[in-house]
Amino acid sequence: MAAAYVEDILLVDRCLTGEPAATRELFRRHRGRVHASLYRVLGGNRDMDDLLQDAFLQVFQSLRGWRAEASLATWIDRVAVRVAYRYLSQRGRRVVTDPLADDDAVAADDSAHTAAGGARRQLARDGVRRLYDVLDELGAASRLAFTLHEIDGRPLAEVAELVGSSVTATKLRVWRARKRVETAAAADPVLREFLTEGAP
Amino acid sequence: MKLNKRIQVEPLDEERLTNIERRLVVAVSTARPEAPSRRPLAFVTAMLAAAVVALVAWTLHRPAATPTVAVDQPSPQHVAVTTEAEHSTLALDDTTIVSDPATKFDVTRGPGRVVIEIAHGRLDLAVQHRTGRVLVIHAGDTEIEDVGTHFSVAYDGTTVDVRVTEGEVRVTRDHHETRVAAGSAWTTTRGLVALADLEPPPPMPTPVAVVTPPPAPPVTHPAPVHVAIAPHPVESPSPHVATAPVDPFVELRTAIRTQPIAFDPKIDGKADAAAEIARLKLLAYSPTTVGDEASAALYRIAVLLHRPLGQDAAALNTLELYRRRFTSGKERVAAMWLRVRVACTHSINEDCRSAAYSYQREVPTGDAADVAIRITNAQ
Repeated sequence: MAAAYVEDILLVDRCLTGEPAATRELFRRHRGRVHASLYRVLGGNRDMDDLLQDAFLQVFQSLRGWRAEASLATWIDRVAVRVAYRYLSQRGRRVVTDPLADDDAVAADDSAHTAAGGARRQLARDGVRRLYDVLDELGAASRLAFTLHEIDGRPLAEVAELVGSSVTATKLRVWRARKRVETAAAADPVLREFLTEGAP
Repeated sequence: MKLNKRIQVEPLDEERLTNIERRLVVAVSTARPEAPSRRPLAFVTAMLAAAVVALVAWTLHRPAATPTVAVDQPSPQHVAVTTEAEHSTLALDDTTIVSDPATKFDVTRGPGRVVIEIAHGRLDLAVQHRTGRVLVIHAGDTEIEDVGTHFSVAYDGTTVDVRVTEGEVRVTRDHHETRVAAGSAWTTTRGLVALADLEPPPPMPTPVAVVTPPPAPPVTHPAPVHVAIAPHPVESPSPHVATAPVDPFVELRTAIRTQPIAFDPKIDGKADAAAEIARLKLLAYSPTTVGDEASAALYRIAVLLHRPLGQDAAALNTLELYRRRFTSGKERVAAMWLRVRVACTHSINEDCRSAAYSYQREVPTGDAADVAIRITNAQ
């Protein structure tokens, strides 16, 4: 842990001197986690490349401000969450999903599998799509809190730190969002089945 | 509701990631544009005019055997220097080039790029690495690019000799790239070798001729201007000879140096300092070292890098590291002053002023604070 901390400090130090290899190294170390978090918060969408780039651009622009008080990963996640928040606010909540990631890929994928397995995967994809349709109706703060906690699996305290709120406010947002999803699931059998099913 | 990790993330393909990475590297490298010069253009123009007048006067009354430094300047972005019997110093914004006698070289300054072409002779360069600015030296078919550094390049028309004393340079020849780090050298005939394995270069005495070209202008092709700046002859000064510009910050720099360095390990030998740094690094970066001990070690590393090793860029990096790691370390104020001292060693520039400003805000009174205030207000 301490070794990773020192390694982060030295890497940031190299980045601050403008060393391109350090820029690449920092991006490669953290891109997977940041992309996964953005994906879980926003769902698959056409702007993902730009969002990932924007997040890291802001990371590099603010790197001098990282005071090594939090871990570098947490600090980068905080920057990524801000990028996601701004995106959600500017988009008026609704995220443009990427059709290629859904229908076309499903059709190609299903032909190679059994009918039962294909149907199950299709159900899962439909469920995911409907879940994000419901999430589109939530405010940016509620959506962030819900997705980071329920989908990305982060503890409430960490989510609160990432979104810059108290734990109580975060817990309330997650609870409200969950109620909203459950209400939608009550009227939507596909979403209900997806939410009650085990992992696909 | 069990959603944890159930949303399968579709990975971005390698090509898209590579594109993002490439764009980031470009954006980061161009993110810090060169700080605009604080010197008014009128002042520079006046200095240039004075230099031309001095040149004319000096040319008319030149003694036969006076050593010369000729600066042929077809445009303000291009400077050609020929030193006949003198060492000379060419001071660019963040680069100091000291040339041997009988050295001929051209400097072309473009946006974000400085190219030096050596025809023959030897140059000693102190380059402050800056993101977004590339400094490249061409010696015959060999290209040398600085990566932040102090190094020399000699070229006799056939053989190139690159010696790095601080930082690192990249040497490219026949599409083959070699990175030459501090303590190493590269020659056309021997390739990469340890600096200690080469004969020491001839000593480079304090130059008497100082050439200061104008800053790179926004216009691309202004009318050619020919300027020659003469050195002041040491042996036989003449009232008609132009003198080298006097450093207006000499007194300020002296005031900076007279402030003591707190917690100074007081090691003067370079080998001893390097050994001490190696020992201190184990303390500073060891996960078992407690805070005070680690902060003291890191601060002392910065001191030793600055003096006696003279590796100021590394010293500044270490101080930046100290600032981030030990926000309430007991050497914090001392580290802030050391940053002023190191940043202002070579010139009173923006980095120097910024360090001084930070210091005076933190420590508003005292001798050092007075010096910091003078630096902040220096024009």
